[in-house]
Formats: sequence, structure tokens, C-alpha cells
Amino acid sequence: MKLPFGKPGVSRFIFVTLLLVFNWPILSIPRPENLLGWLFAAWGLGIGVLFLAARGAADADDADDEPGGGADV
Amino acid sequence: MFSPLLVLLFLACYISGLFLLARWAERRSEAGRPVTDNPWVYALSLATYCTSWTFYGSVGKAVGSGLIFLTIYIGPTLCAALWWSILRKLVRIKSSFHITSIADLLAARYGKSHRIAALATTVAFLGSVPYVALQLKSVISTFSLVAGGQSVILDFVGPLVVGLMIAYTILLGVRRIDPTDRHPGMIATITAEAVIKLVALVSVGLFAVYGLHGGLGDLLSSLPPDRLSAILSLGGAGYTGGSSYVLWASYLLLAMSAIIFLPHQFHLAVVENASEKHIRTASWVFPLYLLVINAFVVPIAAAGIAAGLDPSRGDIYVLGLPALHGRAGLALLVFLGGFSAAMCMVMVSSMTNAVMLTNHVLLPVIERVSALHFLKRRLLQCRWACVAFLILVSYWFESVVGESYILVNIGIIAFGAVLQFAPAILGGIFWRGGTRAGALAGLSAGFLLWMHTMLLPALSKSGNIWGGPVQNGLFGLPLLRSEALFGLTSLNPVTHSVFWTLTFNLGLYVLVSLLTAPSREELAVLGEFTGETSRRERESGPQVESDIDLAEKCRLMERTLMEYMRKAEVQEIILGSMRTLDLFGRTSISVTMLAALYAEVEKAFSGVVGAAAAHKALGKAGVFTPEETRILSDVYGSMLAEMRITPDEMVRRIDYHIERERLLTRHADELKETIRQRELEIVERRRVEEALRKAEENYRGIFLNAPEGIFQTTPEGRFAVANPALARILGYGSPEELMAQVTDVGKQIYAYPLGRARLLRMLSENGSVDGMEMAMRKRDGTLIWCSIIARAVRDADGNLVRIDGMLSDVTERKKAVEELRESSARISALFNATSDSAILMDVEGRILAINEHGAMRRGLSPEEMTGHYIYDHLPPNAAETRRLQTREAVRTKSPRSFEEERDGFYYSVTIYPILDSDGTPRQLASFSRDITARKQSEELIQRLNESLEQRVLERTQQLEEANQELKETLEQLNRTHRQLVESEKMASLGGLVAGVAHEINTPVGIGVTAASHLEDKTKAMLEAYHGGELKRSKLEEFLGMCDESTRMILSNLRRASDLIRSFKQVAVDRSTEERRSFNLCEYLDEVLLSLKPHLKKTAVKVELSCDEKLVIDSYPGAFSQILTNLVMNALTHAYDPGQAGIIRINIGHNEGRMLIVFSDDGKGIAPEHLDKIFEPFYTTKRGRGGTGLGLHILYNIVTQKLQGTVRCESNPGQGTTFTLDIPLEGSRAQ
Repeated sequence: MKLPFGKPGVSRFIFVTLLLVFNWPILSIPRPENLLGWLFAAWGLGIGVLFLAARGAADADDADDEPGGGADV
Repeated sequence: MFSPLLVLLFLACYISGLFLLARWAERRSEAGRPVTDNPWVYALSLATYCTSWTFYGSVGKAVGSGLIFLTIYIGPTLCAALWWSILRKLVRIKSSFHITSIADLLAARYGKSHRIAALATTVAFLGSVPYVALQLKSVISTFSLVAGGQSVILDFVGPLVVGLMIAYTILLGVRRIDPTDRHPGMIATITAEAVIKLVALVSVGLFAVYGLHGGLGDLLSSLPPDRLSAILSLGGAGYTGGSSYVLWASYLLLAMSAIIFLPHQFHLAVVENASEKHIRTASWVFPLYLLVINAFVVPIAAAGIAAGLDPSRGDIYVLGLPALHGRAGLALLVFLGGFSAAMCMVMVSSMTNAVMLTNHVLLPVIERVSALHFLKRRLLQCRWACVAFLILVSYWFESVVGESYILVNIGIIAFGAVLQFAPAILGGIFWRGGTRAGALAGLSAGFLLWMHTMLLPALSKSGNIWGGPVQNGLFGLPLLRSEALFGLTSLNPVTHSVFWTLTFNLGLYVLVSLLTAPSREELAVLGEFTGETSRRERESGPQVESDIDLAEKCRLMERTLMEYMRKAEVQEIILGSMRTLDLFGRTSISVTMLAALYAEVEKAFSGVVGAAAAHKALGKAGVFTPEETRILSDVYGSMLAEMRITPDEMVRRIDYHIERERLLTRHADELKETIRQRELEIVERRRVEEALRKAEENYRGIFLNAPEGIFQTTPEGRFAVANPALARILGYGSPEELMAQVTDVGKQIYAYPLGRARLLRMLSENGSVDGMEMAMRKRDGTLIWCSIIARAVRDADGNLVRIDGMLSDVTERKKAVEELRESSARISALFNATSDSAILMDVEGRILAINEHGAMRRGLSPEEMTGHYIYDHLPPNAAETRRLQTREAVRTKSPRSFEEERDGFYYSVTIYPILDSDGTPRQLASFSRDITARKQSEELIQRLNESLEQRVLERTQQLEEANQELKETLEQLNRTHRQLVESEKMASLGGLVAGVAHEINTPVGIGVTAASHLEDKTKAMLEAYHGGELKRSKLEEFLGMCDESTRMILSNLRRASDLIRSFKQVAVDRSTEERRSFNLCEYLDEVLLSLKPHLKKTAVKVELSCDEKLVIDSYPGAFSQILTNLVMNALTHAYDPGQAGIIRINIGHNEGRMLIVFSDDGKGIAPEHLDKIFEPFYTTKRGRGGTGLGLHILYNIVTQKLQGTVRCESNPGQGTTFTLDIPLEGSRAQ
């Protein structure tokens, strides 16, 4: 199944998700001693998702370039 | 650690290297291959965000405030998710409006307002000053750390660094006047610096974790728990609970805005962007960079604390750790990393601030003050001054404020300033309602509040500068205290500032925007900024009737476009344009909407054929009728009237644009012509290059593949050039080997010392030689002959420069010529050596050649006869015969032989026709031999033959008689041989009989003795009976004796009878040679029994080993004869008289063959006798009992009668073994 990273609006969804993830410390999640690991893990995963989103956008652009392509970015 | 001079030297080298890199990048860009077209370069250039604040300050922040420092980098990561929306939009706007700075952007959006641009410039400038100051501070303080010691240079580090920064920025960033141009050199250096600072920080991190400790666990466990907890918590020791989380969120917000709105970040991300596609790569590469560069911040902070460094100076840990442990190289790398981080930020920031200051502050002033008009032509120098101004002010700020805060707090001041751009910019590109008044109000309020709540406290804390508003409130009102505005004291200073500045900025921006209307200038660009075309905008145009048939106009445009494109593509363009203008569903439109549609279609069509062609083509379509054109003109006239522009001004502007277009068109035409010329030149150059390449290939092919050697030699006698053929001819593996090994052609190549001298002399005399043959030596010493074609090449003074030439191996040809010459000589010698007359003549009989004998026979010489007819030199009758034979040879095309008698001599003549390729006789060869002597000999032989036949008959008769005599003799010999063999057999039989007699003799003798004894006793009994003296006892004794005697007699007679029977059988078999079935073992026992008399005379025993049940169908007499002969042979030859021995006879049978092995342990047979023992009459004991026939008979019986083989093996002293291999098929075992 094709991942929806090339869909419009996915970058905003990622932004909101990351915003929540990086502000969870405000809700005292996780515990203070695990905070460093939490932040770096979320950071790494966030970069991975951004990479997929970038690639998805590139694919969508390519599809637009092709005759009959209709993705709306 | 290092001397200040040395550090300066390092810096100078480093900067020189960066400058070279920048020059290289600029040259690439000029060549049309800019390095900035790479998305990774774009992403790494954004890493300018990681300034010395990151490099040194993050660790300081971690030590003081725990993990809060991460917000500075997580914020950009969050923001990166929106880059595809925000940054791409900004890049597109930049491209449309030639935006050069963040102030330019705001001005463009809000009605080209100079006020808002100037305000934005001021905000950016004041926000940049602390940030640049931070960089200067880091470089100056770390320089002192690295250099250390006492030196007068250290007193001038600040000015030195400032001068360096100014020079570097001007050289790389502000060297040219056109600010829209991108800066590939600058981008290349900051990309390199991004890599260097990352490597430096990671190196220190690895050193801290693995160099100073045994891993991260070991490092963290070396800290006191409270220190560790402080580092790993939010807000460190300074903040707790909710305040730390609010601080966290504030920092995130500041960082998110800073990554785009910091002037230098805006410049790098927007202005320097080469392709919006690069944003995609940067959106994950840049966050990854941030992650990596921050991965070691906490370990370095922990290592610094563990190493006992001052916790209040956490910002020096990065450099302090390697310095403390004497790692000078690492410390220098860290210093260069920190310097890179600082320098790239200072360079970009001061460059973009200089542009803003010049364009939006200085230029308006210059326009207004006539005394400054001369500066209009000195804009570049003005920018240089602005660069210097910014850096100098920052230096002043650093010297005044810097000591009060650690680095990280200074950076936040800058972040707070640029946060004020966020509402106006984001509102400007996403909200159509934002107005210039709103932006001015919001930005002004935010800026003033930032100064009050953030900048003034910083200045106040640094040295009580303007401390009043901070401590007592603005205008002495406590409610307006900088860090407790309106009595809000629950927030930390940063959050407090963020809260109030953003509240007022955003609030006023929205509020004022809602209360004010946008100007026409704002409305004109609104669509491009917000990306939406306002329906109100479209509808608010001049009111004209919508009575134009849309379908008709579309058909007109479609018909024109179809001259260039397919129908489907044309429809796509027109429908796309209608979609853009929201015209679907409408049947009629106004003239202004038609104009908009026309423009949209033309814009789309220009993407296909170019703008000029599209404009021209659509102009011919007749879309607008004269009436529509008039209405449109009226509409635009009214619009001009509303714009309050005079017709002269409009004409001037139009003329300006027309002139500009004309100039541009001419320039474009010139460029096209230049390009066409260049293309023609390129085509021609390619053609020439191709021709040259082909010619070179051809010549190279000729050079490499020519069978002749091609060479160039120097006057000194070295090969300068040689082809493979030359190397091959001279016996070298390759031309390179030839050129390397031959250093003196005259000595190494020429066979004779004067060969090359001769060549040089001829070249000197004639300039060239052609076909000169010289003897040369190959590498292995073989002599060859070579033909040389050479030419002397001389310089302008006539000096010999080199010799060009070709060399071919003519050894074979020379040899062939020599052989041909020798062959001709041999043929000539042969031709003349024969005593025959040999003549070559044509078919008419004309002599073509004649040998000396042929001519001499006629008393002439060959030359005298050549050319004459042969018939003229023959007697008439012979000439006639010769003519006839010649004709016949020509006719039959076959040789003619005949004899000729001339003058009492006889000649045998043969005429051979010589045929050409068509089989036609062209010449004749005539051989005439004098056979007079042979004729005479033949007559003599004839006579001798007649007498010889008689003698042969006589001799044949004699031979036949002798032959008959020999035959008879041979028969006699054969008979004698057979008689002897028979005699031997009979002798053997006689021996058998003797043995039988001897054997029988014993029982018969016993029987006779017993009978005699019985007879005597019987007589005595009779006398006693007759005398009456017979007593009972005597009678009984007699009867007992009788009984015993008769039993003895009977048993012996029976034994004799058995012996006779068996001997009889043996004897019969020996003599009759009949075939029958018999038990081989029993039969051989009987034979051995017959030999017992002979064996008794010796001490030899015989052991027979045989299958007692073996019955065969064969010739028993043959076996008897074989065994007898073998035993007798052994007794005669193997043992000396009286010598004991054992003869073993082993008989086995298997697979249809029977093997009889007869062996004795006697003295054996000498090797010289071994191969003769089966020959007849061969014996070593002739006259002593040996006949030489025993083994011969045995051999014949085995090989002929029994169809078997016999072989004998013996060694002297080791006995003899006879092995008989007899097929049972011949014997038929049962």
C-alpha cells in the first residue's frame, strides 16, 4: 500500500504531530530521567517522517510532470 | 597552548583556504555549473543557524538550564515540517518581486511602504547587533583561550577579529552592487564551515565520551546525582515545575520564528534559494544536522563538570576540555570550528543588514537630502560602510554588554527581535486582510515592547545602562517595569517578553488591519502573496456589461492556437485559464474579464512558443472587436484616472517600458545572434575536431599497423618515436622497450660500425635516402637486411634536429634474389653440363636457346645457332624426320621420342611440347642424346644373352638335383628324429616294464618262498604219515602252517595281480595313445609306482597333491609320459648321487584349466641352459644317461597333444619348477 506522504496537507499534519510530541514534557510525560531519550527518539523519528514527506512531495511532483498526472500538492 | 602569532597564522591559512574555495565556486558559477544548485549545499548553508551560540553556548545552557537548550534546535525541526508550505511560498514571492531581504518582503507586501521597510530594517538591525556581538565575543574569548600567555597581540584581538570579519564580508558578500545576484562563493564557504564545525563538535564529544571516559554510562555515572539531574531536566536548577514548561514553549516559539525570520536565515533560505525543490531535501537534512550537532552537548557538559571546570562558564567547556587535557590539535580544531560558526553568521548577517540599511534607510535619506545625492553613485561603498557599521556596533555591544550574560542569553535577545516579524509576514502571505497600517502598528508595538522587555533588561544587567525602566518602570510607573509589565511577574523574563510582544504585535496587527482598508498597491500584489484571487477584487473593477459571448471568443483563440498545437493541448490551455479565472458555467463575460482571460491564455501559451511569439500570435486572432477595444480603453482610462497619473506620466512610463523592451529585444537578438554564431563555431569546431580525430585515428592506425617500421631518431642516436612494426623487425617486445634500451643506434642496431655514419653522410649530402639497404642486427644478434627511406629534419640554422624515416625488413627478398641468381647459375651450369644436346625452340623449329654441347656437336657456338631453324643444321633426311616429329608433338601436345642416325652416329631424340595456360604449345624442348655407344653395347649384350640362357638352364638343372637331395636328407633326418623320439618312449616304456617286473618280483618271490616252504613241510608230513610217526600235534602244527602259507601265497599273488593289471593299463596307455576317462590322481599314483624302482635307488621322495575325485577325459598315456619324464629328468639332473630331496607335484584346476606344478629342491638349472632345455638333443649329461629328448617330448605332448603351455623357472641352488597349464576342454574334466 502506498504511504500517503505525497498527499496535500501531510506536512501540516506532521507539524501538529511533532508539536504535540515535543510539548508532551509539559504534561510531565515522560518521566524526567527519561526526558533526554524521549526527546532524541522523537527527534530522530520526526526526521524520518520529514524525509518520507519530502520524498512523497517529490513523487507527487514527478507525477504532476507526467502526462495525465493529477496530484494536487 | 599556542602562541598568538601561531594562532593568527592558522587563521590566516584557514581564511585563505576558504577564500580559494569561494573563488572556485564563483568560477564554476560563471561557467554555468554553480555549486549552489545542489540541495545538500542549500541544506548545509542553512546550518549557519548553528552559530557560535550553538557551538559554545549550548553546552553553557545545558550546564545552567538543562535540556532547555534543545528547544533552539527542536523549534527549527518543527518548523521544517511547514517549509514546503511557507518557505516555498516565500521563494516564489522572492522570484516574482525580486525580494532581496526581509524588509523588502514586508515593503512589497504592504504597498511598497518605505516606512515599514525602514522599521523592519531597524528591527533587523537591532536584533542582529546582539547576535553579531555574540559571535565576536566567542571568537575573541576563545582566541585568548587558545593563544594564552602574554602577548601584545592579545590586547588587539578584538580589533583584529573585527577587521578580519569586515574584510571577509566585503570580499565575499558585498563585492558587487547587484543584490539580487546570489553569492555562490559565500554559500560555498559557509557550507564548508558547516561541515567543519560539525566535525569539530562531534570530535570533542567523542573525546569527552570515549577519550576521557569509558562510554556514556561511565561519563554520566561520574557526576553527582544532583548535577546529573540538573543537566537532564528542563530548566536546570533555575526553573522548576510549570515555569520550566512555559519557558520550554517560549523557546520553541522563538526558535521556530528565528529559523526563517533572522535576517541572515531569511537571506540563505529565501534569497539564495536556487530551486524550490531544494527545500524538500533541506526539510530533513537540516533537522538531521541539528540532531547530530546536539548529540554530544550533554556529554560535553557532563564531562566538563566531571573534569572540574567552572559550572558558571559552561560556554567554554567545548574548548576547555581538550585544552585542559593537553589536546592542542583538538583544541585548535575546536577553535576553527567556533570561528567558522561565528564567521559565517557575521558575514551573512552583516551583508543582508547592509543591503537593508542601504536600500530602506540610507537611500530615502539620500533622496531627501540634496547634499548627499553624490552617494547615489557610491551605493557599493555605502554598503561596505554599513557592513563595517554593523560589526563595529556589535563589537561595542559585546564590549559593553557581553560580560554580563553568558552567550546563550545574548542569542535569545536576537530571537525575540525577529519574532516581531512573524505576524506581519505570516499574516501577509496567508491572510488577505492584513494591511500596511496593521503591519506597522503590530511591528512597531512589538518592537518597542521587545526593546523594553528584553533589550533594556540586558543592557541594564550588563552595567546599569538605562536601568530605570527596568527597575522602576517606564516613566516611573511600576506597571511598566520591563520584566513585570502590567504587574505580570509569574513568568520568567523571556516568556514574559514573548508573551507581551506577541500579544501586542499580533493584536494590533489584526485589529488595525480589520479597521483599515488595503491600498491599491497592496491589492495589486495581494493575489501573488496570498495565492488567492479575490472575487471582490475581480468584481470591484469598473462596472461593464457582461454581454460578450464566451464560447465565440474561446473559439477564436482556439483556432489561432491550433496552428501551433494539437486540439487537446489547446483546449487544456483554454480550460485551465477559465478554471483559474473561475469562468466555468458562464456563457457571457465582460470585456475586462475577456482581457483577463486573454492574458491568462497568452501567459500559458508563452510557455509553449515564448512570450513574444505568443503575444504576436494571439494579437492576430481578432479576439477583440473595435467596439470591445474602445470599451476596454475606456475602462483602463477610468482606471488611470483613479490612479491619478497624468497622461504625460503614463506616456513616459509606457515609452520607458517600450524603449526598455526594444533595448531588451535588441539585446536578446544580439544575444541570439551571438549564440547562433557560437553554435556555428561550436559545430564547425566539432566538425574540425572530428576530422582531426579521424585523421589522428587514421594516422595512428597507419603508424601502429604499418608493416614497415616507422621511426624518428635523434642526432645522438636514440629513438624518439618508433612504431610496433619497427620493434618487431628489430626483435623488441614493444616500441617502449626499443626506445628505452637502444641508446646508440649506430652501435646497437647497425651491423657494421660505419653503417649509421654512412647514412648520416648521405643525408647530409642529399637530404634524404630512398631504399638504402643496410645490414642490421636484431636484439638477439641475428643479422637482417633492411631497406631505409629517411629524411633529415633540420632547424632554421640547418642543424640536424632529427631523422624521420621508414625501415622495412628485406632479408627475405634479398635472400630470394640471391637464391634466384644462384638458381639461374645452377640451371645454366646444368644446361651446359649435360653431354646431351638441349634445345629450346618455338613451334616452327626456330632455336631459342641451345646448350654448348648441342652447338659444339655441330661445330658452332650457342650464339651462332640461336635464332636459326634447327632443320638448317641437320642432314636432309634427319631434318625431314625432325620436322615431322616436331609437328606431331605440336599436334598431339605430347612428347615424341625417336632415334636418328647421322653420319654414322645414333641419337635418341625426345621433343617435349611446352604448353601455356590454355594448353596450347608455345615452345618445344628437344633433348638429343648420343646413343651410338649404347647401340653397340646392346648388340654385345644381345650376343651375351644368347649364351647366358644356356648356362642358366644348366645351372637350374643342377640346383633342382641338389634340392631333391636336400629334401631326402631332410626326410631322413625327420625319420631319424621320430625314431629317436620313439626309441626314447620305448626306453621309457622299458624302464616302466623293468620297474613293474621289479615290483612284481617281491610278492611273487614271497609266494614262491611260501609255496616252497609248504612243499617241504608237506613232504615231511607225508614221510611222517607214511612212517607212522604222524602225531596229532604235528598234524595240527602242519595244518596251521598250511593255513598261514596259503594265506601268504594268496595275498602276494593278489598283489602281483593288481600290480600287473595297473602296469598293464599304464603300458597300454603309453603305447596306444587312446583317449578315455580316468581318475587323474589314481592314475598318477600308478605311474609313480612304476617309477618306484628308480626312486628306491635315491634318497628322493615324491609328494603328490591332487584332488582324489578329479576325473578327466584325456590321454592318460600323455600324462604318464609327462610325469615319468619330469621325475626321471629330476632324478638325473637335479640331485647328486645320494643327495636327499623332495619332489612336489601339485595339481589344481579352475575355470576350465588345469595347472600342474612340478617342483624339486635340487640344484637348479643355470640361466644359460634354461632357455634351451626344451630343444631336442640338448643335454648337459650326454654320455652319462642324458639323451636330450625327455623334456623335448614333454614339450611336444603338452603344447600339441594337450593344447597347453609349459614353462620352467629355476635358479641355481634353488630348485626347479615346471608349470604346466593344460585346458580341461581338451581333457574334459568330469
